[in-house]
Amino acid sequence: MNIVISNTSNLAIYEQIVAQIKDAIINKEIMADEPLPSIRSLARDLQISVITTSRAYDVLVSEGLVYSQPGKGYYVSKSQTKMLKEKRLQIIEANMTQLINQCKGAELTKEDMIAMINLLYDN
Amino acid sequence: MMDTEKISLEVKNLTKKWSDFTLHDINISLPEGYIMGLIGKNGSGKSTLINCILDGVKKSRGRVSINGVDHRRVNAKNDIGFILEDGPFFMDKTIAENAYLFGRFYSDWSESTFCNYIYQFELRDYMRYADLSKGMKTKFQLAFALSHKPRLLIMDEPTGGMDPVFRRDFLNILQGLVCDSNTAVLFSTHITADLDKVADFITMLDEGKQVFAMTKEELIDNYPIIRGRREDLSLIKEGCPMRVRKTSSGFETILENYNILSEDSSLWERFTKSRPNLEEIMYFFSEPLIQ
Repeated sequence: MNIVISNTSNLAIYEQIVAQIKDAIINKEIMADEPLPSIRSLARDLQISVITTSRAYDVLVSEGLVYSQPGKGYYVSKSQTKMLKEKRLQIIEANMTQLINQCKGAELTKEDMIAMINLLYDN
Repeated sequence: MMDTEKISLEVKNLTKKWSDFTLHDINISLPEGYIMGLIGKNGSGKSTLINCILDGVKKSRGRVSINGVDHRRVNAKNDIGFILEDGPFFMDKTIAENAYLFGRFYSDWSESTFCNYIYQFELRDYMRYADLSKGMKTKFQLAFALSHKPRLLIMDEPTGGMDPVFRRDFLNILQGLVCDSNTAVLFSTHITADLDKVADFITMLDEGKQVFAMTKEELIDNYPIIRGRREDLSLIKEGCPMRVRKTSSGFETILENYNILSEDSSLWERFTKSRPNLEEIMYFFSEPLIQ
């Protein structure tokens, strides 16, 4: 699993970690019951603070994607990928709705939009 | 999780009165295995606080404990490694002689660890302490401190004289200490970018008073930078404690979770909000020199 932190991202560092671990779970780079790196080793690798890293893990635990075994570490929960994919779809739908409204504002028709998508999709 | 962790450094109601400066009622608490950054303008009291913790200057009031032991006790001093601008080392002696003379005071002193660090930091044991540059003195002090396995590392402006390459290595070393050896680290710096990434806790002093002591995450969450047009300045309620930077076209300030903005939340959209870095936090929390 790769985690890359950007200083210029709009997301806070802990949010970047959460997003990237979610991606790794969706893309099956880490499977259910596999361990995540320990908080301290991940903090060290990413050169970020321990509290920032543990905050990211707390978010993942509270969303049910990760569980902790006291004294052992953090593990990926079972069968959460379906829920993650659904959440992702919801986000895409919301973005798409926004895009459609923008297109309507610019007086583009549905056909114009489809033509644009056809042009851009394969690029 | 945080509740079960052992406190490495605890400062309670620490006060130091000089004839022309007072450090007022400082309270900080740093658990083992975390990094705390100490920030503030020149003359804000950072060095006084550090020297009081190290018992190099006698505090006027308050309590300081190191791993539960009063900081004046030998056991407490044995647990602390430090880097100061003017260390206790002898100017006319070499690095090796200084290390030998001062290493004897520490129960866990290791000559071989020291030699490894000196080599790694590109120093030579025959160099005279007085001949070292500011950055080299810091490297020597760091090598010395790490060679007696401190449980708490306290540093006053350690990165000031460092070149950018060593500064990165230095931050790496600190992270190794907190992540692998559970050492606690307290250091003051003007280079707030050092702290943006690695610091867990930030304590800020201004004119001898503690402005805040909290986790960096709390700071960044709770004190967004607000920018807006000049005419909207009136939407900020009276008594805003922060510095407000006004320009011809607008203004910029930090607000604690909007709670000093007007209650009408629709007006908030007139401002842009962004995540602050520590330099911005330090700027807006400091008393302005000229009003």
